[in-house]
Amino acid sequence: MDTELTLYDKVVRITNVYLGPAAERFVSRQVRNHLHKEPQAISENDLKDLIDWVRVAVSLLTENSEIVDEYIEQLVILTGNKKNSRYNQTEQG
Amino acid sequence: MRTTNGEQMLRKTSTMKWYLVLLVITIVLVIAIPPSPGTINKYHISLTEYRILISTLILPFAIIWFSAFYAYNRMRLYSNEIQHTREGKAFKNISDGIGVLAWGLAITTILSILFGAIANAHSGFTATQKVIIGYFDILVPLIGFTFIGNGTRKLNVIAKLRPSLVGTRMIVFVFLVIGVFYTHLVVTNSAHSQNPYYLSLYWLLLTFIIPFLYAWFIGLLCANEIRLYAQSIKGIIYKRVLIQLAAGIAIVILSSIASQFISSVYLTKHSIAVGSALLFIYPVLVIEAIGYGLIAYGARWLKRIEEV
Repeated sequence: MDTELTLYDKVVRITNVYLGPAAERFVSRQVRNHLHKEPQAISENDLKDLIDWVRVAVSLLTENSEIVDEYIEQLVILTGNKKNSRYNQTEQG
Repeated sequence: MRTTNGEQMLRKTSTMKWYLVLLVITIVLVIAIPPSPGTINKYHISLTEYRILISTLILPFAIIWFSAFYAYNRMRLYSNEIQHTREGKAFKNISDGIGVLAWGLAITTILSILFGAIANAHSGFTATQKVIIGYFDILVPLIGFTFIGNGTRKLNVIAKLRPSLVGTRMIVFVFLVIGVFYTHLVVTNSAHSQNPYYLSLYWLLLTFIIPFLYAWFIGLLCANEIRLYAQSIKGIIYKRVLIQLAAGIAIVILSSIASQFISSVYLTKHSIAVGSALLFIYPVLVIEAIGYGLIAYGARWLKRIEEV
């Protein structure tokens, strides 16, 4: 059930669509290396920074910007602030 | 525990160093050891033509060995990176299998040259040499495909996959076609071409044809299992890379089967034109090198996913 999932689980679930079996390892690495926290301990306050780091990391894995934008958009929805997503800003720009 | 960058660099260096050592040994042996009169007669060429021919063959062999060792190296680095994950053991098995095939390419050639030289000096050794090299040719795919098969099987178990009915029937059909033709050609060869295998019919069937066919069947299963896994796996970015790796593994297995088929059926004949021998060998070598290249590329990107 969605309500039982932690924020970390939700991020992993979205990442799974793009990185499959490597998703959990990828997210926990971003959290540990860049936010210096235990993965399960991330809060909504960490999401913006996490999304920035995820964008940088995924851009190194694919040149397909549509996939990167789509992935980031899914993560931005978790912040509950879809209007301010970079994807939307890019689209509007 | 994770391996450090230093340890990984050491492994990377040592694998490619071994490639260079094996290549240098082969070049020295080829240049130093004169060809047997039998080889000269077999290909209808002079000694100079033989040297030129060998020179043209060394480069593609050097390229294919390089691609095989490089692919093995990349696979090993990737499997080390994910050794503590669910898929870790499976990719380790696949990496070991690729390693056996890569080392097998070089070792078989070196042994063949060395034993050939002994047979030149002692004609009584010719039969023993052919039998030993023949068995070594069987052993390499048998061990290599078994390792790869253990890995692909584990991946299928993790992903809860089962081969489809159509897929299974296709494998059985392809295997039967290859098997029946191979058996027919080898048995005919042994009866009409002064028995190049130096084995009686029953020994040929029991210790040569059946192990080869078994190895090829395992190989076909591996190719199907890795294809299934790559097709079913989630992750848009991950899947694209894995499909390249899977395609590489399948190509290496299928081209290995083709090269074993060709070398044990056609290149054992006592009289064969150089042109037709090269015509058979080169395309298979090119395809095999492409397969190893895809494995290296796929493993490199899979590793990068685990690093960023």
